[in-house]
Amino acid sequence: MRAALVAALLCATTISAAPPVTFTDVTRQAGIRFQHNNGRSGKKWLPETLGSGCAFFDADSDGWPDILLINGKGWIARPGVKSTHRLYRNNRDGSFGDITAGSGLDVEMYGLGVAVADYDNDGREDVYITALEGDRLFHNEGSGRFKDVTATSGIGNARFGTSAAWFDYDRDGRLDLFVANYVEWSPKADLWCSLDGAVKSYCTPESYKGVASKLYRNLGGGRFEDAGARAGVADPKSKSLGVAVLDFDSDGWPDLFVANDTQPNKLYRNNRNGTFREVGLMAGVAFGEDGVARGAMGTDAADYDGSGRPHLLVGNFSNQMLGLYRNEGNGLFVDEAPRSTLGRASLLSLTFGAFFFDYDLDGRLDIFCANGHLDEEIERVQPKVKFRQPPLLFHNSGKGQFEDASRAAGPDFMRPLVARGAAYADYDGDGDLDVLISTNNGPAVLLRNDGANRNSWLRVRLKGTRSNRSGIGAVVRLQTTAGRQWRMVHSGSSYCSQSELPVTFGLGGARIEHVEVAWPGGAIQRVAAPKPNQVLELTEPQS
Amino acid sequence: MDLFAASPVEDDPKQVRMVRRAGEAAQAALSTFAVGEEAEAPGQAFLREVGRVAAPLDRAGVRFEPGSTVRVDVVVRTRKIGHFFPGGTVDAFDVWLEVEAIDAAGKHFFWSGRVEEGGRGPVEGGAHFYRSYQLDAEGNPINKRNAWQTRSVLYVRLIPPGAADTAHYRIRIPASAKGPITLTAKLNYRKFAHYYTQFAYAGEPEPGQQKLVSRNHDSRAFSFVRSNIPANVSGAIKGRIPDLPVIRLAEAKVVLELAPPGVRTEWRQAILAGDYERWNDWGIGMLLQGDLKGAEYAFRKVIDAKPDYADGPLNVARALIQEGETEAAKPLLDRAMKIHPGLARIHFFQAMVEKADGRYDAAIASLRRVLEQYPEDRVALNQLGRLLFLKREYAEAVAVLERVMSVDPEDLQAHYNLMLCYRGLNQPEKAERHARLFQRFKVDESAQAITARPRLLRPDDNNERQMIHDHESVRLP
Repeated sequence: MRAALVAALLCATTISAAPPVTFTDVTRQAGIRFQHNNGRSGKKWLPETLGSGCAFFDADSDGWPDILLINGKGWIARPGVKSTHRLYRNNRDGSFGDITAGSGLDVEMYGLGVAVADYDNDGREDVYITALEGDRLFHNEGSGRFKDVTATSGIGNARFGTSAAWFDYDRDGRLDLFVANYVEWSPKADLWCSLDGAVKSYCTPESYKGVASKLYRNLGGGRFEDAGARAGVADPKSKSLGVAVLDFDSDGWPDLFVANDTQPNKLYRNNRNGTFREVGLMAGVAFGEDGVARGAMGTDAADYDGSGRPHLLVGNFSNQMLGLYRNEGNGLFVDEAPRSTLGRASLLSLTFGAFFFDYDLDGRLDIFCANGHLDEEIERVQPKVKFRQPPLLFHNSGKGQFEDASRAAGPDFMRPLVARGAAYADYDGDGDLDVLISTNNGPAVLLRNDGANRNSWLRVRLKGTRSNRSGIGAVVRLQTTAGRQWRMVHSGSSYCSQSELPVTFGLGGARIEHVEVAWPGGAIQRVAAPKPNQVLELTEPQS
Repeated sequence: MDLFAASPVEDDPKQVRMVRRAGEAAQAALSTFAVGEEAEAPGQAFLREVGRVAAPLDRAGVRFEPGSTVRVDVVVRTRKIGHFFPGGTVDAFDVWLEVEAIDAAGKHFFWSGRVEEGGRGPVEGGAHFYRSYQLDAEGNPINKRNAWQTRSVLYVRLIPPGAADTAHYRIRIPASAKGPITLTAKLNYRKFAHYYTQFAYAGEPEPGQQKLVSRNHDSRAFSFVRSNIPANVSGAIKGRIPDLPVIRLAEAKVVLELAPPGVRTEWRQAILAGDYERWNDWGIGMLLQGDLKGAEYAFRKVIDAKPDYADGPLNVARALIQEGETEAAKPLLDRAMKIHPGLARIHFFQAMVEKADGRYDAAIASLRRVLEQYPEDRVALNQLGRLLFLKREYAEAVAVLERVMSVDPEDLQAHYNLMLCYRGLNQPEKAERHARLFQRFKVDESAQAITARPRLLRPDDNNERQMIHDHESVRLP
């Protein structure tokens, strides 16, 4: 008994002695000088409060994640003042160089979101940017240069696009594109709302008409066709802000979860014939617990509890806690947020960007949320709800339980922001995942992960041959002495943002037994006992 | 009703002032990209600091400064009724507040809710109304008893039984006002809205509008000329549209001195035990509007006024629970429980805190205590059913939710959770049935898009739709 007590105390001492993983704000020292422009005209027009997103992607194909920050613009053009997106090349030494000028991405748009993938399988990651007045597709020409190919691609979406995701829904080896669209809005139709009865505030979208989201089927040769209506995903009532690609029924075909603002969320099950069936209501993910639609924003899907099934994370409006919908495996999802720390800690936050990632590399997926309210005036009527809100970090303590690790992540992490987009990548090549946050009408924030790589890790980068070149949709499974983990390579998720495509596994102290890749083309590839702490590059077998 | 509180209105030139009346800077809403940032004309704004309040107005000894603007709160409470106020044909009544301010010289300097045409016409549009403002598919008001064409609501403002509503008035006191000033507030009732009375007696559509009406909408213009009135119109009044009487249901009045020149207003509160219900009602009105800051302040005054009144700490806890501050709510619930251990509503909110803590079993026990006293309470039953669902005790949840169905077969929340429970029980047919019923009874969320047009066209109706909104005076000579 006494020995057990001593052992327990020792164990506790060991755990508490380990310094926590912290996040350090390295924005300035990394050379990121971006300032988001929401056009702020003083009229509180709806789009001003929704932008913008950010991306970690490999712009120059050198294996290091670069950064793209999406920008808005002024409502009226001002001669000599240009408000463009910003492209930063990774210098491979912890810093970035601004290569926006002449990159082809140095264009003015009222941009909101970004999705990245190699849609033409030429080995270079291409960029899709959603925007209020019209989305654009940029083909990566190499060497950090991009060409606007929107006009020739057959894509024409000028419907307040927000989040987007590349995925191969028909498994023909070419990446298709889903674009979430928000509402019908124009300056003439802008409505007046007030939180406190005194001054104008940004309106929630109830009174604006929804618009159908788009599904662009990749025809090859750089051409796309609008297949949304035929596929059954073009609901004209939806007011969509987030999209996650997942295979919730484990049939090998990618399904879609679409987060809607004040409209029911949608869960589109892939019928494996080019169409989808909406099953969100019966699955229990469309509404809050009272059967009323919530204000859903960002979203992600992953297996946080080792069940083998992807679960859903949904960021909601303030006074609506996060949704953590556990996939029961029978088509039903049960919201676990109310009974976990997650629910209480997120109740007052208005969450836009949200994703699963293993920030401490202990082998369990944790949760990150980027928060910020729509309106400065909120504090007048709800004293505990703030305009600027710190991010939230939830550590997965096992058995499906989460604990609030935000404070332990350090003072830089706790800085309140008006955050919108969020993405992760290992930008400094040390094995752990760093976080990029975009803020509304403010600077971007790069948070470096310090200390997680005390645990071992494995990163896997895929190169498709028969499947799409980016390996999107491939499932990477890792068997270790501690158990099994898996990730699906995906675009989309979070809010208006794109995380890096390589997947990262934390190993804790476990040893790798094997890595297995299930390619969308059907091939299964296995690597026995790769060494930890490396980036494993795998190319899809040709046959 | 009660003319209960006042607070200062201050200017913040950086903010965009809310448009409350037609023709008053409404063009800003219609401005386009061509209007530059330089054209922005910031106006007055309102910045309330909770605590800078004079209340109750008849006891606080407040003296307003001539030339200042104050925000006066009028509280309307329901008593001894078991239904919402008003009840019945809530699309067709005129029920509204009329608030006036007159100085010692008899000069009218504020009037909201005036009946136009010398008291025989419509109620002015900027008044505070109690009604269900329904819209047809084109955004036209449902004002002809044409409820079958209702497709959306602009707002619903009805006071629940045993509850209160707090209305806000921005009263500018002229620099030349002579004290004392008299504020009056009346709750008025007219059996039918002025438009409907005209329509019923003399409404005839203008010619050539056949395409402007369908089963979903009626966009026609009507004429109400006397010659339209049928000769055999029922009732004793022939040949003219009757003027329906305006009934005064309740009234409040307060007489206040003005501050002498150079003397600032002192915002003081008078905390008297006999006034605890007045503070409470003021707070309930704000709580129902989502003004948690104001509500919490009011309820803390209830505690000060009557420490042995369980609803004081309970209502502070309610505001805190809504804010997500469940930890802060706990000691207040404990305090309420000590004062009145058997009060079911304390146990209900206790359950909400326990649920938020993830302590589902404790929450279930608290709800069962509520149900011992109120076995058919749908709110408690729905919460209990939901908790059992979250615990994956689907069969037990079904048994509870079926009790809700026996009280109200159209209960939305019960249908939703029954659908999920039957899904969990792998009984797809029953799940499908409740899914169908849920979709049938639930509001079509997208129908709110219909409100956009009337909101753009009528700023006063748009203002009235806001959960928290202020009223301004009609133009006075």
